[in-house]
Amino acid sequence: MTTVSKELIKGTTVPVVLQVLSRGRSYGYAIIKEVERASGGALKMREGTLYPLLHSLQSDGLLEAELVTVEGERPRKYYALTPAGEALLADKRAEWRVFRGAVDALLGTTSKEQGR
Amino acid sequence: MRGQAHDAVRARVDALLGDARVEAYLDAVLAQVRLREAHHELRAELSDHLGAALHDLLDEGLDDDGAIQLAVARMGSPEQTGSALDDCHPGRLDRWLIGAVLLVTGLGGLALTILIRSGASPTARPSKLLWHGLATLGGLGLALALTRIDPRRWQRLALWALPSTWLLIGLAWLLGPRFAGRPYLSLGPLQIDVLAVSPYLLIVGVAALLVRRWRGRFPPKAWLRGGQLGGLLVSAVTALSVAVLTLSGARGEAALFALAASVITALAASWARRWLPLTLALVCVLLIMLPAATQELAPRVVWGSYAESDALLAFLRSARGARGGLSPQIEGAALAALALAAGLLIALRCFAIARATSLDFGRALAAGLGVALLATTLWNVLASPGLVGAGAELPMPVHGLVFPLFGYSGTRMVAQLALLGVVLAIGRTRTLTPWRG
Repeated sequence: MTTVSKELIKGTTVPVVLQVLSRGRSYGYAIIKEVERASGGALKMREGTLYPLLHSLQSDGLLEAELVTVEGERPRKYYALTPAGEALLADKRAEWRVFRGAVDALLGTTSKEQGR
Repeated sequence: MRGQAHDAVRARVDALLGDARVEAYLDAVLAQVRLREAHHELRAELSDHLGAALHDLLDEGLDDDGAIQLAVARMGSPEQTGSALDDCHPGRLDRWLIGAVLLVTGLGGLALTILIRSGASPTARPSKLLWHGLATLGGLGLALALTRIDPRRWQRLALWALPSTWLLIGLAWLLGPRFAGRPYLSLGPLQIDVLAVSPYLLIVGVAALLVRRWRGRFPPKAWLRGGQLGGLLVSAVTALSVAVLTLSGARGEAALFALAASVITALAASWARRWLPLTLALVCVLLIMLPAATQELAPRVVWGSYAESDALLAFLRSARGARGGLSPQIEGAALAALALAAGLLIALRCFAIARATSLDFGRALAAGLGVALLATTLWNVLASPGLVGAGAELPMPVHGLVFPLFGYSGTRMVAQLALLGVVLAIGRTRTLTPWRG
């Protein structure tokens, strides 16, 4: 399977995390597993990237967090989208569509030119 | 059988989380994070992640040693992760707020000194300056100490502010001496103006009450959806507190508290996004507030009745009466404008901190204090004959609404500075996650 470069992944981490959380609240480990599962293993998010990103999104008011303590279990920190986070996700989706269309058009043209 | 196997793996994971390599990784991450209040939640979050990873690795058949090695290695460099997390939790005190507080308190001291030296006020004696200085320094020290305390610790304790205030007012009425008709509490040489400190304590209590979870739900939501206990309790407590203050003769403080309580109740309702109850809440609390305010609505000469201990006015009067200098009026107005600008900046920084924090209690408390400080600042401008014309008759309640951090009022000064210390702590720890059981 073709692996995706770090540079490409870096630009998509915010919308990817927001997208996972748009399906409901979740926690760090589950987010990493979900990204890997949903992308068919093409995207792998590193722990050292995810946690600072989650904390940064939380302090920017895009995520809200709750440290839940259930008796007999380890404390677990859950994240959920705030309305500001939902708005940013909508913007990022629109931005991604424009970007993908532009890159597809460009790479497609380049391939044809190379084929001549 | 499957459940037993799961429990056995969980017990192994719990034991492995105490391994020295896991502890060393967590310690190395946390060593980079300077905001100590964040350590508990970061340790819990990263431990939970390592625990889940260890669980999966053991399920895959790895032995304990291999599972720990792989789980810790996957976490990456603890220094890099810790440094990135440190950037997310700057933990800095709001410099604008600190600067504005120091500026207003300094100008207040200067104004009182000029007032005493000019002899414009017969009651302004050097001993007042001494007590004013002691109160300012004590309040600043207390504020500094309070900036170091995690505001999440205040939330449960803050509920006691409500009955404690009522009790203090009752004790002062029953036992304390009276000065100008107001009850005080005597503590040795200290005379504590209980009514002056009351609105601030009550704001703390109402903020705690508003964000208290009722049966696992955020109270305004629970209240606004089904007319449940929480909201009724907030309204009842607000009404009772306003009544206690009004009956005690502290009408200015009653109006001030009611205004702050109405705004933070409305804010809490807006967080819950219930617009009809929001309007009702505003109307209800304003109805509670109006009688308190209107009792002093009879036209009066504010110049004569506004105590000279309100240093903003006193300073203006002193500047007018002073001999010599380039232009006393301009100097007085310029310094008053500086104090006014700093007072407005203090209120605005309180609102900025309220907006930035993720702690509901912190948001309500900072917003409540911001409203109280903004109201008293603007009130002073509107009621000040030095600014709107000498001898103007203004129908406004003025007792108890001394210019924040400026006027001569030791108890009020300490209360305002202490609460600003808590607000600074709220700003410093704005990135932390609220505690919920």
